[in-house]
Amino acid sequence: MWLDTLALMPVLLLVVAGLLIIVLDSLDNDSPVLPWVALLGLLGALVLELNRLGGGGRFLFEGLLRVGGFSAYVNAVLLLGGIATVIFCRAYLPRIWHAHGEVYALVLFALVGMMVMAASYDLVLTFLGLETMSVALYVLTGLAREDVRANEAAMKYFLLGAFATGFVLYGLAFLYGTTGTTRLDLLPTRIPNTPLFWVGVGLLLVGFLFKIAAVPFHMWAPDAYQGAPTPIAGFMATASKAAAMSALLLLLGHGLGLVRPQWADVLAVVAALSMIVGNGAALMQGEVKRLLAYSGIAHVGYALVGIASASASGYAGALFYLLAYASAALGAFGVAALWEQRPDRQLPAEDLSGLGRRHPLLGALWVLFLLSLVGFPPLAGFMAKYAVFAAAVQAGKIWLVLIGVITSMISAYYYLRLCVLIWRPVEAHPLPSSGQLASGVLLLTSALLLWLGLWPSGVLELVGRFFEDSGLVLR
Amino acid sequence: MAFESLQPKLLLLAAALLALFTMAAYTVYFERRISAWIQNRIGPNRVGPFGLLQPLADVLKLLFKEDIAPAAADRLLHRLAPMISVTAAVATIGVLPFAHNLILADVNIGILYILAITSLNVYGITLSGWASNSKYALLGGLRSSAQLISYEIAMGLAVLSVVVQSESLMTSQIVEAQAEIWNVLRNPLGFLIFLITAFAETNRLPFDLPEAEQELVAGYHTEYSSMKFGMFYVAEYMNVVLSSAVITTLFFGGYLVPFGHLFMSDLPAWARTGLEVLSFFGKTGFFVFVFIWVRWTIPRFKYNQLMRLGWVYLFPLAVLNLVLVALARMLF
Amino acid sequence: MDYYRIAFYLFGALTVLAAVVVVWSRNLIHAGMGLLLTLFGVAGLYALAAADFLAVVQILVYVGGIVILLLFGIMLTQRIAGRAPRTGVVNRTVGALIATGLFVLFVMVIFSARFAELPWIAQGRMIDRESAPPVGSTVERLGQLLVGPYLLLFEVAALVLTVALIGAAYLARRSRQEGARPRRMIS
Repeated sequence: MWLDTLALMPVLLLVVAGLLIIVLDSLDNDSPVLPWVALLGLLGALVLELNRLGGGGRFLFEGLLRVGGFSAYVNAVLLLGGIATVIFCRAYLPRIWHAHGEVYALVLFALVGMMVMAASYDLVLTFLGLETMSVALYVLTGLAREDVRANEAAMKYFLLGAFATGFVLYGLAFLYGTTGTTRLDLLPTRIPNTPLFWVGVGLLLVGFLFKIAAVPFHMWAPDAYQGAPTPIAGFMATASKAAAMSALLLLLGHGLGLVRPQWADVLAVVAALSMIVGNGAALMQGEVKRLLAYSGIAHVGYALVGIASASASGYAGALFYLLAYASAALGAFGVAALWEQRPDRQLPAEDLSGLGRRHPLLGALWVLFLLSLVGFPPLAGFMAKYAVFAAAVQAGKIWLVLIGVITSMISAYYYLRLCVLIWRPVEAHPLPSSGQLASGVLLLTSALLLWLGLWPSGVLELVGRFFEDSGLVLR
Repeated sequence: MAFESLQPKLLLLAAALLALFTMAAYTVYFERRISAWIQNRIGPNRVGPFGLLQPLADVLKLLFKEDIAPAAADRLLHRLAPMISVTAAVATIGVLPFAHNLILADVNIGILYILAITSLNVYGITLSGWASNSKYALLGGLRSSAQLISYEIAMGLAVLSVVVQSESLMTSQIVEAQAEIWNVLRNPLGFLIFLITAFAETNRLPFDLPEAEQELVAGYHTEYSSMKFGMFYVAEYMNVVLSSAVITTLFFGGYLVPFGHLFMSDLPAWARTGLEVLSFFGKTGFFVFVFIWVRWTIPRFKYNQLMRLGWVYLFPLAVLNLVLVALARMLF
Repeated sequence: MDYYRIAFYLFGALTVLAAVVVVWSRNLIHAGMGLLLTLFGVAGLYALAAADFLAVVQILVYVGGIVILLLFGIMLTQRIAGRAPRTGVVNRTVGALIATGLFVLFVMVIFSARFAELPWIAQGRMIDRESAPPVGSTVERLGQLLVGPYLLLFEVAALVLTVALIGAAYLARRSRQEGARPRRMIS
């Protein structure tokens, strides 16, 4: 038991750091030390997770959860998102007068929930992780309490999220009632032949698809991202999606891996809808955060293509996609956070004009992030799309790939518009907030995008090793 | 289950109810006499010898009063609220051990049951405050719910420390576990916390803000008259009696007779049971006296003081006490 | 009919009828009281299923804590502001359609499930009633499980509550020097 607890060190580190922040915050309110405490915890956890990335997974607490391998990879992605979020928050929040200590604690606790989700082999634990994450995010969304838009965003997210939680619980009850277990490793041998079980699975899916903002459960995302502080929106778009996606992958790929045909087509339809609706709606957006929200919906669709292929290469592709998307989206949200200067915390696309002329480096990075989101060849986005599409072709889902390619081309229109906009010869305002750390994170994520795009084999091989050839069991 | 096997239980229930109602009624009488004594007055002494029939006269008077409900009241809830109060109070006697093997239902989760049922008490008060459609009543009701919820936590933690010591949630076993030494000696801090929270949970001075007469007329039962008011009144005194009984059970050895092991084994069974019942009611009576004594001695808190006491002092103290008790349990 | 069955149907009816009140009552306080009765009925069902600890905790937590906080919130915000607490219904047709659809679906699949034939339940029924240990108090076993194999779940649940507490405290506390207009102090 104690050894098992030690193996949970990365999570414990975050919990301790979060509690420490709360205590320090109560002693010295909103002290500038707090983000550093958070960063320290996050970096420590990241080092520990990277350390066991290569090794196989190991079950803890009598099979309740599994660390290393798959979960180490997802956790590393999550922690990357957490580090970027904390650094951007540090640059951004003082400007909107909300540099509260609680923010950092809540980000850490949300990460704990996410990391638990990515490691959990018991649906009850998954649910608890999901709730930890969600509750923290509800509050973070409504951080700007005096702003009506933030209130609306938080309220909407909270009510719909609570509703989704109800779906998850209902589904869980059906699942347990028909199989007598909530453990993912026991599930494959116990799948009964009754529609009740499948209704339960369906309800669970609804809950998870809501959390990753896949169509048709995506309505909340644009409003929530628009009302939330920009770095937090980036956190929601990347880390929370990655966590819920990996939990979905564990449920479908592991727990229901033997009955793949039953769910693969459903997911394919959801993926197609997400790509179409996400990209289609993004075309019409004038506000950058709303646009990125819809783009995030579309990217969830692409990642779901990998899961819908229901093969080892598809799952690996989805995992790779998560990292590629997270790096690019974190960078894009980060630039948006640094550039945003209106008191109502909005960033209309026109405000971007002149950014590139005023700050060429920032402009270049912005272009890089957007090009990766399009899926432009030498960048990570391209390799990621290639990985999931190749898996879908192998699985015989040509129509899905067609939709993916066409929507990608459509998406190029709005991404490129944003790229061009910043080089307009307009006198732009100076950068309202900056920081060497924030620039460092932007450089790091762009380097990651290039590395993943040019030399993807290392990471692709790594994520491929998490799955057996049958695509069933995660190592 | 056959009806015959229930008969002794039903008899016991009737006796317990009778005892409870009588004790509640006479607590009212004693409150008036003791307060008079403390204030150097005489108190009610006209009805019957020493005024002993005064409670009867009060009840008769209440029964003949007109039953008024405010025009804009929520009729249903207005009527329901006093019933909830009385029911919640009465239901507690189900798990109180009056003597060895003399208990209505010796359930596994007895003490939790008491906590759960006590927490229902707040509904009667809150709903009466709301249903009356009067600002005084509403403020009283709101104050009361905030107060009860705040103090319930410390109370629960104090009870938990007792559970840790006796290793059981059964009320009878909690009593038996005190055969060697009463819990009040083993866990004095827990007793103190429980006593204070018990005052708060029964809305007695110094915690009677829900019905603070200077500010709120009569608080939650401002708009009640006749027997509905009487029910609130009875419920309040029943709660005093029951809280005393619970304090007795948890901390003062319940029905155990002090130094009973010296002579109890020689007595016939009926005498033992009788002595135990006497011991139980004697201890309970003493705490009823303490309740009255405190009420006429200590002034009322301000509301912020009340909340501060509950959250800033009692709650951490109760946590600390629980940890200490658990540590002591582990080490010794 | 034995007492057990009568009690089961009584509690079941109480739960369902009270839930109907929750949904249909336009008076929020009445709806809250309906919720109280629903939760009470569920506690009764737990007790009948020999889950004594769960039943009492249900009353302690939901009836004694959550619903009263709910009522507290309604009274504090609505009545004092001078408006009667009422609710309205929006999206009648869509809501009704989805609700009826889900209800019909659930009823159909639940009744078609034939629980007795499910493997894990059938296995459980094969256990010899005589040799099986008697179902005593669930308290001890629950306690041992919660600090044993399920310790992690217990701790994560504690974390959820901590996060909720921090979040609620942040959202509800008085603003200090936040960007826009500081709210007037209400004393």
